Amino acid sequence: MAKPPNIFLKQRLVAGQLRAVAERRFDDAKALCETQENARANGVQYLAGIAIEILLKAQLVDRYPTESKLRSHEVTDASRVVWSLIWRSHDLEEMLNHLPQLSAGVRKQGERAGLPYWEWLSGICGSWTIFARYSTLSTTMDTAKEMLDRVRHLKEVLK
Amino acid sequence: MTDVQLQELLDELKRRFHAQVEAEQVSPGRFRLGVVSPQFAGVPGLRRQDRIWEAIDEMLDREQTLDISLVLAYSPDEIEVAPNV
Repeated sequence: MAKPPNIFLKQRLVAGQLRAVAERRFDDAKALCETQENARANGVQYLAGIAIEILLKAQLVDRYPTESKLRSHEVTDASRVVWSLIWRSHDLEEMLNHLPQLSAGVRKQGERAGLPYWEWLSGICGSWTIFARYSTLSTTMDTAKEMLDRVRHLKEVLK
Repeated sequence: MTDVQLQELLDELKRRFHAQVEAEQVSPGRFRLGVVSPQFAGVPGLRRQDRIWEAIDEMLDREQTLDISLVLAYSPDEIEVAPNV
């Protein structure tokens, strides 16, 4: 029997790999959503937000290729903020702030589609945090489905 | 967005949501808004965002809305219990 790979190893991914991983996390969220069990709703929102986080990291890798390739011991003061956003942080707001061209592009695509993509993206970045994984509170599957549906659109825009 | 337009937006959000509203500049000409309103109690995060963005879209033109980087929306009780970590 083949040994399973160690998924806990820290890997240095390129933008395309990050986008593929985001798709997997989205599929994980979708699978939880399809159970229709309210107890899985937090997991749906958590994973849907992770998918957005990874897609923003892919955008950062595209925009800051030099910083993204640095090893931790090579990081300088000047490159530390961006490097940390790519490889350490879960701060979606700060990621957006380092992607100034993204908002206009997302807005334009939303206008073409007749959907408020920019407002959706900003709304998710303003409300989702990594602390969902520690929350003792429970959201509802209706709320989770709504977020998942927005992420379904946004992941195509952010690719 | 001019200072006057930003102030008008903040005033409208205060009026519409009976809220405490603050703006913080995150980069030149871009602002993060914080809105604390009792109207958000029990309202899911994305719905809060929708309501606020609806107001922003009404108040600002398309280009100016891009000057709002993000909105943080809380109910007063959430502000009280949130630890400063």
